[in-house]
Amino acid sequence: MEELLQQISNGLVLGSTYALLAFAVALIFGVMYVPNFALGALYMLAAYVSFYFMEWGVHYLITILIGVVIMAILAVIMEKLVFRPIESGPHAAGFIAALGLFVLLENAAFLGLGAEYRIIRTSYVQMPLEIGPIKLTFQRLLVLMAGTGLSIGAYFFLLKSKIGKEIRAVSQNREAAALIGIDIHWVNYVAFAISGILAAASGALVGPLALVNASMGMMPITKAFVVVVLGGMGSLPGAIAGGFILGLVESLGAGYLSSAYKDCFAFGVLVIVLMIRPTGLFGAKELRE
Amino acid sequence: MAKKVFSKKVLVAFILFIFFALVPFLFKGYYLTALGMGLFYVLLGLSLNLVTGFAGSISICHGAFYGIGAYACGLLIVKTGMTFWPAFVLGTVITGIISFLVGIPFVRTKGPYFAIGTLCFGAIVSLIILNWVSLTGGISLRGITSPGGLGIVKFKGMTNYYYLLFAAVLLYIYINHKLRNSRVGRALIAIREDEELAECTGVNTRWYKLLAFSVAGLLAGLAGGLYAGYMRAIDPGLASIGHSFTILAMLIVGGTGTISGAIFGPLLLWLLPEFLMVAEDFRLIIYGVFLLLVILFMPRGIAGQLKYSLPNISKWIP
Repeated sequence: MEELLQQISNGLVLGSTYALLAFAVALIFGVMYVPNFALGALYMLAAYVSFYFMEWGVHYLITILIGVVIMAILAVIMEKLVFRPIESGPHAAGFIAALGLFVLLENAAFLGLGAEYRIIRTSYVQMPLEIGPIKLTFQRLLVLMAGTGLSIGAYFFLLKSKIGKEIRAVSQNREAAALIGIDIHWVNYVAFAISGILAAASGALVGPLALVNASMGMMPITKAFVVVVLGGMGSLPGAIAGGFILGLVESLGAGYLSSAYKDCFAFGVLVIVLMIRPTGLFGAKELRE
Repeated sequence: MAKKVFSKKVLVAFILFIFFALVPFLFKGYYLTALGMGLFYVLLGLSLNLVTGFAGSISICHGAFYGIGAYACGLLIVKTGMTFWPAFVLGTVITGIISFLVGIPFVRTKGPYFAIGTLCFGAIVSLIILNWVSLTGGISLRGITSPGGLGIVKFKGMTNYYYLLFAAVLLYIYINHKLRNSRVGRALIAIREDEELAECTGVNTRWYKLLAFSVAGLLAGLAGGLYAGYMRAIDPGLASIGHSFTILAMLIVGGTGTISGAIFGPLLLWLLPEFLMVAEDFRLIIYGVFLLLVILFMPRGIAGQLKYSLPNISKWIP
């Protein structure tokens, strides 16, 4: 029982980082119909930003903020230079461009920042906490709280604020939104900035728990896609719920079945879901070409 | 007039054929090996073209089938003591069967769902090859025997192996050409242009996609078997997502749906870093840059864009 609770708490911590990344992916997919793989690179770069600023003596929590700001700017630049020009092109172009951008950034980081694994040394990792039978570290609690808070906060921001309503209007119907006077380019910028913030927060929060290296973004972004497909492309609550579900599945799978194949569970679940429902679990939204 | 256009293309194709047939006499050593290795990617580009080019579905697991073919062939040789050729044939058939079975759920999905589904399958395959150490030997599988000979022809060294690859390339071009000008090819192109419309006009989209997907997988497996026979040691990197991305990037840079693009995209992207003598680490950066430039400025790929925007030149492109 204690072990089960422990696995569940680990799963929720992992799940909160997936939820953040999946929310970012779902947001961009809703607004632009682009499965933005490049968010995985922002996730990785944010962890590097944390590492380097920590080396220069900045407090860990402040490095997260610095990473978030830089990645938000980078995401907007990406939108401007890459995704805007091909917006009217064929559906596949955005996906291929995103994939190219991801591979480019990942390998540039590999060459520029080195192949060695970096460790973010924050005292939070060693700070133990015991909540009933569950053992946590402060860092894990921080990941869980910040991940959950940010993803739910972002959801309510989209639900209540004016620009949030505009973003949702654009994801429902781009042409109609343009017709009633919504500035679509501005909406794109804001959506990309939010997605950059969430991806960066996810990377900077995971950083101290994992080893920071250039290829650290690949698995999380692929899993974020699994989550987004499971939750239905473009569905934001689906992305948050799906992130936590996947975190739990993986943590329990690694604990009780096999830890070497833990990454296979996520992908296996996706393949099985696609067998039964080709448009994902909650995906009723028709794809627009 | 139509006759004449046809003959110009045939002329260019013939000159290229002569050139590539004479490569082992024109180049020796390093350059020959580099070109020969490029032909493996031409095989992959031409086979991926069936599903991504004609049917228009972006598949990110082509490297997985290449790896499955190489490992099936290699394991049959190493574990059961078969000679190369029966293992090669059996390995190719096994890959074809796997791609058929995997294709069944995937062909029901469309657009990004298909791409992400195939990406996940590719990730599963590379994880299994890497982690099932007792079967696959983990980081590398050694001790594969080379083809030896077929009748009086001996396949030793790149000079002779080049002709084996060259024959395979001709076969793949023939399959691409036949398919494009057949009922199946027209059905696939209809699916690429508008899947719903094709479905409404009575095209059995799932069946045709499944056909394209499994034939592409089988042909990737065949190329994998040839690779195993040439290298005699294989590693899980063959089936990695990065490798699948490389193949996809090569095809897209060349031009999806065109035979010339599926040949010259892989050759260009393989040979450019090779002759620039850049480190292996720069390869994927170059592919990423090329892919972005092509998507931004030549959405049809290099060959496709030449054909589209310069009709005068297109007469000369086979």
